[in-house]
Amino acid sequence: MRISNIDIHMPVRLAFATFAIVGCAWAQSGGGIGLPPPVTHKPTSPQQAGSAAIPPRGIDPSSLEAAGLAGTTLANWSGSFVRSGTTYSYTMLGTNPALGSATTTVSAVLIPLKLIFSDGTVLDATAPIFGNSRSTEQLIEQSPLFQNVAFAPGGASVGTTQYIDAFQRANFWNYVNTSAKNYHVRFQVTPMPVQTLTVPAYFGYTEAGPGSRIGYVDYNWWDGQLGVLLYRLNIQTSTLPMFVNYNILQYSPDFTYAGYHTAFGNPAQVYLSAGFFDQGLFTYGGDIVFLSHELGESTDDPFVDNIVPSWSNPQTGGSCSDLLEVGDPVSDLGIGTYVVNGYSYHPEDLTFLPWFSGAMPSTSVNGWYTFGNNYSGPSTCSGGSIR
Amino acid sequence: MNNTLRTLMGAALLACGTGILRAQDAGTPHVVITDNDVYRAPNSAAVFQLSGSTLRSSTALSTTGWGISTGFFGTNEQAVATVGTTVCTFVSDPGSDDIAAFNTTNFAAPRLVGNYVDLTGSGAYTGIALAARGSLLIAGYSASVNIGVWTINSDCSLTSSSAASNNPLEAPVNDLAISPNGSTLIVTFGQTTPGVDSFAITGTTLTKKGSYNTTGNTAGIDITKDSKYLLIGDYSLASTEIDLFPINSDSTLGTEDYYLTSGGGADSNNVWLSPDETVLYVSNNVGFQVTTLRFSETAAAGHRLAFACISSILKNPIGGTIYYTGSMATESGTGKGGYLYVAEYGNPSAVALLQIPANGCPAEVSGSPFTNSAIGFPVTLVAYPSRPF
Repeated sequence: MRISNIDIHMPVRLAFATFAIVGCAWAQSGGGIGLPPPVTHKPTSPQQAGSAAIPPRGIDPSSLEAAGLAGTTLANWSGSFVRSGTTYSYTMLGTNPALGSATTTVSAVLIPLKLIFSDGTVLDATAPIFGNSRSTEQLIEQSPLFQNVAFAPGGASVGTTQYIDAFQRANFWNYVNTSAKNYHVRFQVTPMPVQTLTVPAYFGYTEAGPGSRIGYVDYNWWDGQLGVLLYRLNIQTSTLPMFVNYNILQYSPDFTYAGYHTAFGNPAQVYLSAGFFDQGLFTYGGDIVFLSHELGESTDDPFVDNIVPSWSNPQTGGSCSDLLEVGDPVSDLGIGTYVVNGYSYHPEDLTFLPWFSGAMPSTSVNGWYTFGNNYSGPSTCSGGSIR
Repeated sequence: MNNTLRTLMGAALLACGTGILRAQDAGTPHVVITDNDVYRAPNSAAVFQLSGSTLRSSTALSTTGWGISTGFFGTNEQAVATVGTTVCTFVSDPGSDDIAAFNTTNFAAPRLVGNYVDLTGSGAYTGIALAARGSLLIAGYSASVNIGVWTINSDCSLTSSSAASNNPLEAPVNDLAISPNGSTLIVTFGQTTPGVDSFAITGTTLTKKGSYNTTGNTAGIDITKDSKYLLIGDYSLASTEIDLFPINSDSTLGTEDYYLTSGGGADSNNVWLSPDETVLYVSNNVGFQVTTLRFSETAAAGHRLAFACISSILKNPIGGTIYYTGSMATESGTGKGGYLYVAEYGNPSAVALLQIPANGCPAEVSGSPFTNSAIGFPVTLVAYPSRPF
């Protein structure tokens, strides 16, 4: 019998560690009285895939801001809002925009993965993608996530900058447009050598896709391998490792991941994993959809502990979450196409803080609730809470 | 009265009470080692030393690697081998995919010899299972689904003798064990298709001899002293189930002899034969008890195991809670084993100490369990010295 990892720092939610993630109820594969995921578990469609925030492990919330100031974890700040008489605190990367202009440069490392499957398929983030001479790694480095692009939601110029910085400036537009005009949260990316992982047949398989083959890998196996890489590459807690892959999804019994972000330890190590997918595999875009989602969420809930009033995705309804995950409410929604160096990128929309806080009107740019203006009012919860 | 005299007098009293004269009385330190399997942080193994009827925390083994804080009940993540006069302890680091080797000839002053990586072997799923016999250390890698063979050198360093990629498995290993005669390797799988594999060991080469389906869901392994019988604890939430197989001289297995025993006991992932092989101790992992089964190798199939007794529910650590009990080992090399150590994963984690009377029905001693200050996932343990097979 497999025993699940119970974090004894935290209240034991269920004796066998059934974790909740945003957007779906997820029983950790293999968790509890049961077996690890059988190899026969196959998502019926890549369209089932989504993004997730994985609960943190071993984080000491009381030391995060000091650790950020000391440079032992990512620089962060804390704020709060009141909704329906309850105060909600949150922690985000960067500095407090209410205190004025400041530029935070987050040191990030881009770790491309090369997966070798038992059927001989190789999905390499450093090899040219289907129909293009450039690789996943190159296209990500050249994308609006890390290159300066002019962003003007609704015609309001929030800057020629990286997408997440533009989002965060638009998010706190009440300050950025007045007392913090030079407020920025930017990422300085250092690429690392490709890391090769061989997938045993028990833990993964591939199937045909609209372009290259699609890889499916057991989530627990995948995250275990990322942990080993964090160790072997001597990744520092002061940096944000971004594991990127080409066309690979991670499956568990109840969810299929196209990307996720999480944190662990003290000082906290934040990291994310995201796939770069061929166009046509998903309803909306492919390319940097999931990386923009995870990077946005890593910025606004880096330690996966920002509790907000319960909300549900207005598009899909269903179960509610109470985490400040800026990507999940707008999954599969875009902000338009951005052409950079001849490639058409599809950043995912991201949700502004006022949507979670219930501020009316919104204090974000144009009085909007998302960067792409996909919602006209603040959050509601139409289902039961799952957290 | 000095400490030594006090210890000797205490031991003499215990010996009178149980009729067992233990090696600890003669001055040989008895230790229990349990891999803490610390999640993505510097890992360690806790070391406890038996003193009278108390386990005292000793110098921990700091591996420098990382753990994963999860795994199968059967996956022994530590092993002890004696090479000449040198005592070597091996602790797996499944979070960094290495095996830490220590010279523990003096457990009070352990020395890390090195961390050994098989680039084709990864345990970052449910751990790296270890089994040592003679100068052989065999590692079952759960994430790469294969087995690596290492040679233990006289200084406790390891030399890769057969890369894990040479020895693929069909599913992630749960437990593995080398027969006392050194000729057979048994592997269990904690997966959806219950079963067991056997391999012949020739030098450092493994040759697969067979895959066998089992009635129970196989987990922890023990093998009789003559290497003729294999006992497997099964995971079975509400019962105590054991799979028993004859081991043939060519390392193939005979017909399964399955036991669903009466007498209660919830779950049965870990088994341990008494040194005299008259009883089998079963760790009831979610019931927090120890079931004792009478064992007779010479009995007919279907009658080799029979319920004898079940212990009281093991005590929670003071102010804490047991989540699971794990593997066991006996302190003495003779009779019923003297004391029985039981790994406990909980908050805090601990090792329970049970005294075994002549009837083989162990009872937890006063003061047990003995807590482990490390925050990790210690669910298996190994004792040194212990049963001689």
